[in-house]
Amino acid sequence: MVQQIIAGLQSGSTYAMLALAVVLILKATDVPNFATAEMGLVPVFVIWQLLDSGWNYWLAVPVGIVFGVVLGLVIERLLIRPILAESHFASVLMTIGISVVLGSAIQLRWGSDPRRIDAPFSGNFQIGGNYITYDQLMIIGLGVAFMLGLLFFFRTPWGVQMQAVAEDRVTPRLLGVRVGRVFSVSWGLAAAISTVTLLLHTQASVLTDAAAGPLILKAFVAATIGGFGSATGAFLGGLALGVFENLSGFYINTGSRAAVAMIFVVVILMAKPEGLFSQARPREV
Amino acid sequence: MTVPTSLSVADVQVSFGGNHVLKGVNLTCEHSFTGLIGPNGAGKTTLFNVISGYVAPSSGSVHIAGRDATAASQTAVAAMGVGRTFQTPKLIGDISVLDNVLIGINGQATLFNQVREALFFSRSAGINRARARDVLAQFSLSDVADVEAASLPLGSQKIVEVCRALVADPTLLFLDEPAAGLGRDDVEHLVTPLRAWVEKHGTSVVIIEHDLELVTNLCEDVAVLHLGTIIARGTPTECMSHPQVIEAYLGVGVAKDT
Amino acid sequence: MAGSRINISAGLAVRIAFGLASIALAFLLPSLLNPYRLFLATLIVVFATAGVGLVIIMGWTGQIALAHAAFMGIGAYMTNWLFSDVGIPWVFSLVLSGLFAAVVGALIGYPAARLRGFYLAIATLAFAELITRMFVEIDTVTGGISGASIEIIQLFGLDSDQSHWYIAVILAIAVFWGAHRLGTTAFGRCLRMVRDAEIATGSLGINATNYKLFAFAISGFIAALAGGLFGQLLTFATPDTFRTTLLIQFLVVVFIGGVTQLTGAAVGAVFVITSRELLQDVGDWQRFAFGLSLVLAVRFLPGGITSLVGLLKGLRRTDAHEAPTVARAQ
Repeated sequence: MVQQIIAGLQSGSTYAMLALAVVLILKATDVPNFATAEMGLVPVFVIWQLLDSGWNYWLAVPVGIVFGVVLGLVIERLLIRPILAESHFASVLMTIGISVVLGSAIQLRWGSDPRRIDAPFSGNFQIGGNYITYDQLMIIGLGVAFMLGLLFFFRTPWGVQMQAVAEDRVTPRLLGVRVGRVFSVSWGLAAAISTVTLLLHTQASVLTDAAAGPLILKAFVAATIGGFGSATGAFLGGLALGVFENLSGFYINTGSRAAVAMIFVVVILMAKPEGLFSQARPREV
Repeated sequence: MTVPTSLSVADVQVSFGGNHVLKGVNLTCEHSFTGLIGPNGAGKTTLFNVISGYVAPSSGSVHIAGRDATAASQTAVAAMGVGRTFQTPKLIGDISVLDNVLIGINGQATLFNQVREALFFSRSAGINRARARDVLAQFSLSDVADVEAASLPLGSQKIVEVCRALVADPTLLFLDEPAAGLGRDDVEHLVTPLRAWVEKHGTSVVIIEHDLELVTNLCEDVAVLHLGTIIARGTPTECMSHPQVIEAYLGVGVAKDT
Repeated sequence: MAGSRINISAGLAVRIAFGLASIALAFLLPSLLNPYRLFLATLIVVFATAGVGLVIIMGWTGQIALAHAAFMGIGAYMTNWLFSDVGIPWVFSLVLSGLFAAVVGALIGYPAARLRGFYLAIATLAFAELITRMFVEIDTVTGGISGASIEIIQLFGLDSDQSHWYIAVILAIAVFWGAHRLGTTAFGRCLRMVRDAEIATGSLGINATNYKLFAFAISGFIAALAGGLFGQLLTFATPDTFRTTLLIQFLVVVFIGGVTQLTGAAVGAVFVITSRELLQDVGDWQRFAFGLSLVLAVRFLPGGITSLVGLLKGLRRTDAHEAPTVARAQ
C-alpha cells in the first residue's frame, strides 16, 4: 500500500506542479493557459535534441529551461497581452490554439516515436521494505520545493504585486506597479515550472509528442479540487488526485480510477464549490 | 403626503471582515420621499444592500410593509414589492432600452412561465411592452425606446434603470445616487415624472444622494448616516443645520463658526 | 437612431433570407449532391445545431462551458444503446438521451454556477474529461476503448444518407426556432442579465442560479440531440472522438459568429467543415495550419470573423466589447 502511495505521490506531484503553473498564470494574468503542458514539452524535446547531440545532461537541462522561459515570455508578450482586454472566450481560444500549434509543431519536427531521456541518477533505495526510485524522490521533492518556493514568492514584493494585478488591472498601475513586468514574470516562472515538470515526467516514462495532453487535464482537475485561488490547494489537490487514482487502481481495479476521480471531484465541488482550500472568492461582488 | 410605514429597520449591524460598517441603524419610512444622506463611506449603499437582501445583517431586523425581511433573499425581497437602482446603471448594453425596461416585468414571472411563453406564445408580451413604453413616455424617453441601451449617455441610462424599477410597480423603491452624473436638465427629467408617479401610485421612495439641493426639494424626511449610525433625523433643513451633520461633512472646527 | 433602425432591419432580413434558402435547399439537396457531399452538408447542419447550445450557455448566459463535446458523446452513445440494445424507437432514444444529458448538464451546472469566469471553464473541462473517461469504463454500454458500432437508421423509402439529412434539417429547424424564441423573449433577456449584470438580478426577482442551471441543461440537451445524429454519421463511436479535438471545433464554430448570434453558429459550421475538408490536402501540416490560423484569428480579430464583416459594412459596432462594457461598469 505504501508503494502505491509513493507511486501516487509521484504522479500526483506531476499533476500538482503543473497545477501550480496553471494557477500562477491564472492568478497573475487572468488567463487559463490550456497550453501549459505543451509549453513545457517543447523545451524538453529541445533538451532531448541537445542530449542526442552529445551534450552533458547538466548543461542541456538549464539551457532547455532557459529556452522554455523565453518561449513563455514570447508567447505572453506577442499573443496574450494584446488580447487581455478582449472577452474571456478569446483568451480561452487563444491558449487552446497555442497548445495545438505547439503540439503539432513537436510532431512535425520530431515525429511520434517514443524516445528516452536518461537521467544521470537512477536506481532506488529502500525505506522499511518499500522501494523509492531516485526519480520518484526527485519529483516529489521538487514538487514540495516548488510549492514552498511559490508560497514564499507570494509574500515577496513581487508576489504581492502579482496578486494585486490579478484582482484589478487598473489600480496597481496607478500605484506604480509595472503590470507588464508582472505578466512576464508570471509566464516565465510558470514556463520554467512546466518545463521541469515535463522533464521529470518524461524521464520517468517516455518522451512522446502526446505526453502533454493527458497532463493538462489532470492539472485542471487538480486546480478545480484545490480551489483556484490557492496555489497550496492546487498542489495538494494534485497529490490527492494522484494518490487516489493509484489506490483505487490497485485496490478496486484499473477501470475504477476514472469513476473514483469523478466522484471525488463532484463530491468536493458540491460540498465546497470554491474548492477545498480556496480563499473563497466564489464570485466577485 | 404621509403613507403608512413601508420600511422599518431596527438596530441593524453589519460587519465585513473586521470592518464594522453599520453599527446599529434605526430607520423608518413614513413619507413618500425619504432622503438618506451622509459623507462617503458612511454605509448608505450597504444599508440598501441589507434591506434588499444582498447582505445579511449580523444583528437587527428589517421589516417591509410589516413583514419580516431580515433574512430574506434578494428575490424574496423583490417579491415583496421592493425595487432598486444602482450607483452605476446595470443595463444590458446590446439590447434596446425598451427590452431593458421590460426586464422589470419579466423578472416577476417564473422561469417556467417564461419558457412556456417563449415556446407557445402569449398575449401578455404585447401588454407588457405597452406598459414599458408607457413608463418610458412618462420620463420623456419614448424616442429612444428602440435604441441600443449602450449608446445612451450615462444620465439617460440611469433614468432607464429607474424606469425598469418602476415598471414592476414597487411599493418601496430605493434610488442609489440617481442624480450623480446628471446635468440640471436631466435631473428635472427625473424628478418631475418621479413625483407624478409617486403621487399616483403611492410608492415610498428612499433616495441616497449627495446633491443636497435635490434632497431639499424632493424629500420631506431625511436621515443622515455617518460612520455607520444615524446621527440626525428630520426635515432637510433641520438635518442640514444640525451641528453634528455639518461636522461630519466639513470636519471638526467648522461647526463652531456656523 | 436611424442607424440602429437600419441595423435591426438588415439583421432581420438576413435571417429571413437565410431561413427561406435553407427550407428550399432542404428538399432539393439530396437530389443535387453526391453521397459524400450530402454527408458533408449533413455534418454542417449537425454542427450548427450543436453550436446553438453553446450560443445559449456561453453567448447569452455568459458561462464558458467546455463540456460540449462530452455531451455530444452522451447523445451518441446513449441513443445508440437505447435503440440498438434496449429496442426503443430511434427518435425516442434520441430524446431520452437528450433529457439524460440535460440532467447531467444541470448537475455540472450546480457547482459550476458558483464559480466565475475561467474557474468555471476549467471545472467544466474537468467534468468533460471525466465523462469521456466514463465512456471508456462502462464498456458494456459503450464498448470501451474500442468503441461501439452505431446502428444506422433509415426512414421509410429513403436510404440512410438521405434519412440523415432530413432528420438533421428537421432537428436544426426545431432547435434554431426554439432557441430563437427563447432568446428574443423574457427568458433570453433574463439570461443576458445573468451574463452582464448578475449583481442586479436578485433585485429584479431573477434567480441567477436557476437560469444558469437551466441554460446548462438546455445546452446539454441540444448537444446530445446533435450527438445522436453525429453518431449516425460517424457509424462508429469511440471515446476519443468526443474529446478536445471536437470541442475545439465547436468553439471555433461559435467564435466565428461572435458567440452571441444564432446565425453565427450556422456560419461557423460551414466554415469549420469546409476548412477541415480543405486542410485534408495539407496532410501532416493540417493540425499545425489549423492551430496557427486559430491563433492568428483570435489575435487579430478577437471579436470573431463575422466582426470583420461588420467592420466592412460599418453598420455594426466595431468594438465588440463596447456594448457590454457599460453594463459591466461597476
